[in-house]
Amino acid sequence: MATRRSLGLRLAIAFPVSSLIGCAATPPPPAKTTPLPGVSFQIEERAHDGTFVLDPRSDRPLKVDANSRLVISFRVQPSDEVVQASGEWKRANGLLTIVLDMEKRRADLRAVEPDPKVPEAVDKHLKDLQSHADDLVKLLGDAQRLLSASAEFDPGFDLNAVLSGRFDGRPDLRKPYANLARWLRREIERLHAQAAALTAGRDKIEVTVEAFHDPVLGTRKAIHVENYDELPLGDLRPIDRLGLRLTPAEENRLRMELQQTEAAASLIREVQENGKKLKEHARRVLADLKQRFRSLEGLLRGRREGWTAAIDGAVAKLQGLALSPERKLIADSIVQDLQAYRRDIESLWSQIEKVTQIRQVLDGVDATTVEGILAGPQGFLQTIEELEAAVGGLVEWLPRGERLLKNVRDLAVGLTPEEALAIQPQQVKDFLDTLAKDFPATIRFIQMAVESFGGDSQAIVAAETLGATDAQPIPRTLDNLPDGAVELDHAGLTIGDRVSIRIRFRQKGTQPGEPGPVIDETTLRVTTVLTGLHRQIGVNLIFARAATGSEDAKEWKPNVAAVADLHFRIRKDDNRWKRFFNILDPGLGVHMASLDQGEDSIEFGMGVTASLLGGFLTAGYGWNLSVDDDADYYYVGIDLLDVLNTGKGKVLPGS
Amino acid sequence: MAIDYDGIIPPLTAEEVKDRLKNKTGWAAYVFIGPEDESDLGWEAALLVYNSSAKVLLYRVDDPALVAEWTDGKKPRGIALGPGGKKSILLNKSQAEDLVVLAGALAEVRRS
Repeated sequence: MATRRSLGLRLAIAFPVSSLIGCAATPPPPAKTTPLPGVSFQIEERAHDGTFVLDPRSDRPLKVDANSRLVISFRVQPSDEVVQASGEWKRANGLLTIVLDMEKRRADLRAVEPDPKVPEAVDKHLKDLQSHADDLVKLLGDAQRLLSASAEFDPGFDLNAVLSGRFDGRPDLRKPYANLARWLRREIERLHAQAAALTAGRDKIEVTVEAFHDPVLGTRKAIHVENYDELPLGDLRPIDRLGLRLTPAEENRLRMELQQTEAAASLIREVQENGKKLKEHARRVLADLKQRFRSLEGLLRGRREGWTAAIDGAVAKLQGLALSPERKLIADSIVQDLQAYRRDIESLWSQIEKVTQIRQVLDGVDATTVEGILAGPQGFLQTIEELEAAVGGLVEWLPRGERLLKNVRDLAVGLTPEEALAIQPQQVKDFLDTLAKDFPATIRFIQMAVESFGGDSQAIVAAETLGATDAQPIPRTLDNLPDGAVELDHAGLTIGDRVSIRIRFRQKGTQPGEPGPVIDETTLRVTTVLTGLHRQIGVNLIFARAATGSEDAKEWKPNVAAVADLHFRIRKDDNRWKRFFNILDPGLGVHMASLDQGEDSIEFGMGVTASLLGGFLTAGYGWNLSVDDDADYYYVGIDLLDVLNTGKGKVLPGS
Repeated sequence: MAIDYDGIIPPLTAEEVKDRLKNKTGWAAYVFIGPEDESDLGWEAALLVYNSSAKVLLYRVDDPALVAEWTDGKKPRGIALGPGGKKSILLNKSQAEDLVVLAGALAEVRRS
């Protein structure tokens, strides 16, 4: 079944229903601001069912309709708007209005003399006086805060200096309101000048917009962003909402899905059929591994006694022999080889503990499968790799041993039997005999085991990442920022693919064509879905059995089914039930399956299907078209590609 | 000396000060204690608040003994007095120099 959502989201159903209950509808997100004053942008999805703002900062996975248009629009405010949007400017203007009002109210109150015989008039006057006094405290507090905010631009002044007029050298203690108003006007002018200076540097800023498509299976590629790159737009290939017409991308995806699922089904069938053989093979491998490590341990540990003395004795004897110059050369070669063996064997003895450790691990594994070893004590693989590295460096032992034996044989001609025995210590001879017999096979076996256990999945991941398309975007300055657009129905994507949009603000480089440092970067990541009522077509790995019939027919057997079903995705999931429905994502439809219930080599069945979690889990009931009796069957299935996609999403950066 | 809302008035005796502080109703008053010095931030603050407020009386006394009735043996720099002198807040030197604190004290003593 075609992928609809990540496994992580599906598994969430098991836990956070309570957390969904706590979610509330959120208003459309504001435009994303940047570190540049007055510069912001917004990304919208324009789909068949409306326009929706996408928030790159959202914690929830973002889904967009696979046939929609993603529009990136920028807003670059002129300097006047920038300053007017600033909180400081607003506060200064607001205070200026209050100052003028307070001064007028003060003058009015001073002119009023309420008639003491009219208590209501006196009372009102007192209230007005109190109100003015309270407002004065608030005004002074606000002025104090504004002054603190601008302290870095206007150092050395406090509120007294402002109200007294000392701040600009025109002190007059009788006019505090006028003095404060004068300072506020100066502050507003300063903010205007500051905004103008900030926006003056905008022509040194460049903006790029890039978009990438991460298919469910496949490598990342860049896709065209209107006005921001020169990549081809691609053919119009909208995904059919309700019909069975497939886009080329969907066909490829289905083909890939079919191959993967068939391979998985074959593997499972093979395991079912050859289970006993595989177990027996694994048991033999384990037994062989144990035996070889015992042998290696015995070889190293058993020959240790008397090694040093024997080699030293042989070397002394060789050096004491009276030989012709030619035979002296042979003797020297034997001495060198013996001394080399002595050095190597000392080194290898240090590995005895590792060999013993592995042997003990193997002895402790009570498993009939190789997996039992892997699941066993921690560090087994690491230890075996270290040992392989240590003994792997001793590959020259065998040629050296052959040379040594040949030299000894040549030199022994003409020597007395005692002399011949003295130059060829029995310990070395036994060791070389055993080595020649067992050592190469042991090393090969260890190497094979390490390779087969270890694998090299990292290389595959690295290759995918490196395969990303590196198309050069068109940088635009802030005074020339048209809307960018990504036409998803031209991008050759299928349901479940991921699309990323990266917006970068950077300084212009010092050299033409050379990018400057990045000031701000935002990446929006979305997964493609179909919204509203729509169809899904995909392939599932199923386990089917006949409802009635022979025992063989009623066995659960792995097979492959093509499923077409209808789903409904609620676009405005603004309450917990809608979100829960979208996670559950049920579907109803039909299927066609390959089966293995009768005598025919190829069997087909068809029937009805129900699915959950966007097709991740399916169940169906159908009729085997290749048999006459007991044709009813039922199955449960999973979307294998969805599992793979989830795994990929976890390892590929930016996907 | 004293300043009322109409301007500077001649020096008053102790009895006259008490009489003014107690008998005037509906007015707040601020008594600054110290010599007349325009470079004194406390006095400057007193004048600024006076010139910002509606119907506040401002007095300056050289001798704290004149306002001993409100100082309770302490040595404040200023006294904010509510109407009729019934409610008072004493201000130390730093408080008396702080415009926000001084205006706040006068607003507070008005509340009765």
